[in-house]
Amino acid sequence: MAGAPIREAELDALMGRLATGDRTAFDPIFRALRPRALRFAQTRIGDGSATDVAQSALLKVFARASEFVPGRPCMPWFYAIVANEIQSHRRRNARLVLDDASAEGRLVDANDPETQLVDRELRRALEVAIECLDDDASNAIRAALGQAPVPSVAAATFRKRLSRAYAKLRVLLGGHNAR
Amino acid sequence: MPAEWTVSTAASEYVHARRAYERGRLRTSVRRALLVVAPVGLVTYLVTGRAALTWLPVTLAAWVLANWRGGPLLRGSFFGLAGGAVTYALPMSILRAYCSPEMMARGEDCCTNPTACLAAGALVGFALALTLPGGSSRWRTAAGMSLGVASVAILRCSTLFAGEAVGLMAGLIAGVVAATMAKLWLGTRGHRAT
Repeated sequence: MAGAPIREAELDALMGRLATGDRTAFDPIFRALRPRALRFAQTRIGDGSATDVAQSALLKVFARASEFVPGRPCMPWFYAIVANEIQSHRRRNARLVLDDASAEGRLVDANDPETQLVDRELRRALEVAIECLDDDASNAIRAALGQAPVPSVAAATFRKRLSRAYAKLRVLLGGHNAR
Repeated sequence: MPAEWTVSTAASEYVHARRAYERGRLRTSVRRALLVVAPVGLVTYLVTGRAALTWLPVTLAAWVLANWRGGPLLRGSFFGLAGGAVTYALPMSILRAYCSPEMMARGEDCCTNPTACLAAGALVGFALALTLPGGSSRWRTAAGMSLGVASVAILRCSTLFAGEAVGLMAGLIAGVVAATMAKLWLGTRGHRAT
């Protein structure tokens, strides 16, 4: 199950191939995405249930692999599904009392290399997704994130533009199919 | 990677992920197949009549298979569908000279000369074989073409005769073999010339 790490562009191409039914792309994608799903889950919900959530997220990723649009970036789409799964897990367990071990697992060290790696990948995935949007939409989101100046338009126009941009981003991340 | 992620865990997850992929693919395939089969069914109903619709589940199964496998098989199926659609555009008197109109109206097998039906299918198959791409995917594309043509032809062949579908596959295979042999022969000649 070991192998050289796969670059993002290669992963996009592999996911595109898997979406069109090329089963030979399954192995390298599984090898590349499994540790990412686990790392992401660990940094968000701790070690306690990270394995289960990562596995469940991976099942969803592969169940929806045929709906992936070839040519689009894979990582934002992948992280959106895993993030959804983590969110669902949090909602399910919101009323449960945490035991000490789980509570401890939730305390994520921001300086931990794994956490930094996940954060870097998430930022990059979001950046790639924003780059795929049209100029108006990407500028609106960047302005909302404080990375670009707010366009010189009326406040209501900007809010509308931002709302449309988020909707486009959701579609890009596969949110139109989210259950 | 934590200790609990043992090799057996990874193997089990791999198997589950693969199953999830195949199940998801099948679900998507059914949806996509319906997008093809619904208009084909409508055209069949309008052109051939209600009797041919009894074969529609076979058409649906063929398209679910093509979408599920994907790749060259699906591409070939679309080529085949286009080839099969040609048979709908041509008048029965030209395309099916050996077809008994009375029997066809009753929804029965009406081909009075199975050899001619077989030859017509073979001709279409041979013509389709000429459009096949080269490379390793040639046979899978050819299989897809057969599937695509058969999925449409069977709706008409239910009132004609299955010989056409058989002839088509034979023509397609013969065409692919002939094209491959010709390519090999030309390649050898070119190699000798240099």
